[in-house]
Amino acid sequence: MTSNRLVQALVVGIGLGFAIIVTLFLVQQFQSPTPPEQIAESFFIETYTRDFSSAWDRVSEQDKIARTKDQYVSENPGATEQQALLLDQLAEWGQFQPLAVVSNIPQQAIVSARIRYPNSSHDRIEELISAAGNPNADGAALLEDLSQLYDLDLIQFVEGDVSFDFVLEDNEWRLAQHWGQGVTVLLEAAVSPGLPWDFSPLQTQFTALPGELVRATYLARNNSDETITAKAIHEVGPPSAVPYFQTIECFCFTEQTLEPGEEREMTLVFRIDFAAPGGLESIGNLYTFYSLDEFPSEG
Amino acid sequence: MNFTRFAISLFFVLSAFSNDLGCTSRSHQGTIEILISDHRDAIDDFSSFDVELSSIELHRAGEPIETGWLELQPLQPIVDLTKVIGENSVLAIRQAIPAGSYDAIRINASEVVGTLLNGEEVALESFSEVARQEIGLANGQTATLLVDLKVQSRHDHPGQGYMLVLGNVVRIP
Repeated sequence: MTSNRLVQALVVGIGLGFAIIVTLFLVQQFQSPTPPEQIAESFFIETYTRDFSSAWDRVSEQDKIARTKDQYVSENPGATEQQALLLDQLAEWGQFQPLAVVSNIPQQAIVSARIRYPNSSHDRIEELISAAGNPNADGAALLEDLSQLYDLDLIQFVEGDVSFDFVLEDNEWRLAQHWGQGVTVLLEAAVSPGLPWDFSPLQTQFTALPGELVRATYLARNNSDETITAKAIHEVGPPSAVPYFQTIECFCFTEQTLEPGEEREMTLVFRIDFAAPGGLESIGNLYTFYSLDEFPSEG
Repeated sequence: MNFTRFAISLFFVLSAFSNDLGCTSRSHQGTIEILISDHRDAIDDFSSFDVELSSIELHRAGEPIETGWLELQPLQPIVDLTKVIGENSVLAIRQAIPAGSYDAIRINASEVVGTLLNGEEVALESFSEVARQEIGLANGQTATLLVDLKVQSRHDHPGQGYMLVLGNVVRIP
């Protein structure tokens, strides 16, 4: 009798355990995922506050394969602790208003939202954020300065509508960044032997989606005590990639003059052709500055 | 067990889930508006700069690059870029289109002719450029895009004069 009861108890126990596991599985399966618009807001704030490590966690598995966390974080340097204080405050003054969630393909969605956020690239804010990057910065004092700018209505805001592409994975909405379709763009710089300039890109590598506008910055400095005018030549490689690299804005379109000791940021805006072939993995770009005397002659 | 009742219940459960996700069907419509502007660049060299828009197209997300385009007809086919500098713009498109997701815009111009301040006429090649732009358009919603067509001078480069390029495309409130 005792052994029968033991067997019965065992069977009931196993049955209950099985039922609990099945229930938990079903709950997980049918539980609504966090709405994509909520994830979009978190992702937007994380990138705005330069918390790129958390932002990476929200991207799709396909994207994570195309770009590891280490790669992503090294391409997008994060904020220091003091900078994060300022950026968090700026984010609190921002507004993120979801407009619509559209899905005409199963397991995919696009969230559009209206944003109004302080322009963190604007002169005075950028100065404070830059100062906060100093290891000896007084974060509390800088935060106070920022609040004063806000009280005096001196914070410039940017407004616009933004979209976020989502894919449903394991019952969770994740951002589809399409990094796998991205083309690696390498930027290099050189100066001719006779030109006393320093010249280099601030960032040497980009992952550009076909059709996406990318802005890059070069830094040039005249090390001589003379005013010098120079002009850059642009070379693209491999040759098969040339038709797919579209230059929208470039310092190389015009002559550049630097005063003695002057340092200047120079802008390059480009796009990889939307119809670039899938096999195109990387494009190299070399910009070489020549003084006007040395500039290679036509033909 | 009554299978019909089970199936009906399941239908309602699934419907509730799809409402949760805010899905819209293909038969719904939204409105697309496209404004053309010229960010100040070399346009000041011209007294007029006429771009004859043959069409503007939107690419449906997830469809092949070659075939997944929805063609829109411009409200006014000729845009003088000297009239749309800076904050100014012209409404090139206002059209009802299927709600859904789009990921690129293509601007096609059949003829591009500028008149320089000295009266000289400059004819550029026909123009067709694409910019990636994610657009989620819900039923009844209006999406407004601002397209920057830039005229650039590349006179410092041998053999190159003025060029028309498709600059930034942004969705505006």
